Amino acid sequence: MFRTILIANRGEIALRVIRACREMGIRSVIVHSEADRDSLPVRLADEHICIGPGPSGKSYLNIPNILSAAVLSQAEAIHPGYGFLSENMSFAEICEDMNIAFIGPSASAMAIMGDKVSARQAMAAAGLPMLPGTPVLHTLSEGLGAIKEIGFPLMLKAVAGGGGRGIRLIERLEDFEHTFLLAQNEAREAFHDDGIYFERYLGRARHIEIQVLLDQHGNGIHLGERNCSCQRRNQKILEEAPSMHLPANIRQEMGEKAVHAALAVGYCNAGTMEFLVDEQNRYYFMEMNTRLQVEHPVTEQITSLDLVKEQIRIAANQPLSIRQQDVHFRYHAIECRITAEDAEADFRPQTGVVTQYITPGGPGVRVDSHLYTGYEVPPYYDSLLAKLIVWGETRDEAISRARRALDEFIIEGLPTTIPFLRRLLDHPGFVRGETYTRFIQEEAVALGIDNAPRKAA
Amino acid sequence: MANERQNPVIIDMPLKNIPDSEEFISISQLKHLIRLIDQSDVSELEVKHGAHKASLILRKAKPLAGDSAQLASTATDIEEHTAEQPRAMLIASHVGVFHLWSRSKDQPFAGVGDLIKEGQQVGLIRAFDIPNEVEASVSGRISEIFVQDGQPVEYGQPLMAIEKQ
Repeated sequence: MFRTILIANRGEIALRVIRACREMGIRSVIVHSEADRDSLPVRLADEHICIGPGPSGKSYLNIPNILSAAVLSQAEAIHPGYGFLSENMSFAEICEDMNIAFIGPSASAMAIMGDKVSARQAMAAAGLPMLPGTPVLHTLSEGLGAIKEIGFPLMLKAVAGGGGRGIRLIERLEDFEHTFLLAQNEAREAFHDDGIYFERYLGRARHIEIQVLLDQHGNGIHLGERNCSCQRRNQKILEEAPSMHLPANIRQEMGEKAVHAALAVGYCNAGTMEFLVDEQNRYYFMEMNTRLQVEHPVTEQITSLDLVKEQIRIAANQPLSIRQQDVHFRYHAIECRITAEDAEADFRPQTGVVTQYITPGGPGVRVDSHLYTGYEVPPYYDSLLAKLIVWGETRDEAISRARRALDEFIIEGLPTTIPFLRRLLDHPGFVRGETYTRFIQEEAVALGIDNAPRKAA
Repeated sequence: MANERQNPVIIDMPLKNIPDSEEFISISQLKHLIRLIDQSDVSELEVKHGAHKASLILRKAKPLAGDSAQLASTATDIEEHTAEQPRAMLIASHVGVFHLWSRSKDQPFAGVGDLIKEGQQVGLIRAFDIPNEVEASVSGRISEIFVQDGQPVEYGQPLMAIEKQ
């Protein structure tokens, strides 16, 4: 096992990894920006090294300074968390070259799964069902030719996009030319890659993802699904497991196929296969996230596993400690992402000082957060403040618990999405489990966010 | 890699007439101490109270100009305005091992008391065998060196103080 792990991230996920290290007797070293000098992870890690100024391009993405910090602190492994360098293939490659374990998949598996087009090819070859779609295109005339077979409505996706960026819905042929050129320009500017592809659009699809874990010895298991259909502009807002509409036999089938497909590309460590599932429970592979995900605690609560510890063990070349038949599901778990955004003002990001911070507690409640009273939310990073995870014997109990916990949660000093999440939990459609990927957009009025300018996502 | 701090001035206050259950320092005493530290060139003051095994540290606030320079810049220079000469702080812009000794010259790049010119190399920070030159961003005299040859440094760590001339 590793003696020292360097954490190349910040906020709640850095804290999450520090906690796993502490429980495993591993020394944790955190790298941080000047803006995060007073952050909780910096305070709680065994060692901290400043790697640059506030903007992440000069700190959390500064590969030379991060690796220099790893060498100086004698770290044997690096946990990249999510975001930042977690899906950066060259970073994973350099770590391999320097004999530092990257806690994640190999650079070669990341190369296949990180590119959406090669991922689709590989996953189709490995037997995962695909939405009808086109190859990558670069010109309008190619686009017009290729979409004939798919029909409208369809989804336009930038090859280099991700995390909800570079995705547009086109409902009619009349809108095609305009949207295509606009999206291509944006992709060129944002990602330096104007490659575009198209997929059939499912009107009432659910976003269902399968968590997999694979070791370096060819063993793989799945840990069931998460329903992440509550999204706004393709950003997840609330996740739950299990999905109330997914029959056990389909869960098992999707899980087995996901593990098989991951093994087929030599994938190891934790990963997530994202699927769109229609109302008939037909599922289509969308993409793979080659890292730990924000919403991993939902899976932890229904399986009683610690995914971060599993990741560390896998990276240390240990075989998986459990087999598929040892994975048992219990409870219904819900995660609410509390962000520093003003939901009533088009989710504008907020910064400020947290003047009061009181977390909920009691049975079935977990809070993963880096906040404390007096903490100043810096302007440079993601707006996630806290993840509230609740679980109960039934979905109804979990929903009541989530409402109760949100009512107890006090974050003062800046607007947060707590009131919006509370309304979401009260929405009859949500309570009935009728969430699909456009649910929040279509129910904006009922959810009190109707003053936001609405466009096709 | 904690920054070095100068030894504080420690005052064992005669704290009379304060019952054990109360705070060990009164507001008026605190005001007095703040006035003292403001008027002096002492930068840090520590008050200890034996019976409480408690201590209070008062530190003079940094000048605003220095603070904003640190926030604003990726530059390796932070100015501190003292009463007399403007003092520039040279800080590390890389994570690595600091070297004061020049292998090629077989002597130190610089030492305390040296007059240096803007742009002159005064050290290097080695990050996995890649040497990054540390250059003075102002001309002046080195008044203090905070790190030793071979010491690991983090981004933003003060390396040297330069009295501008």
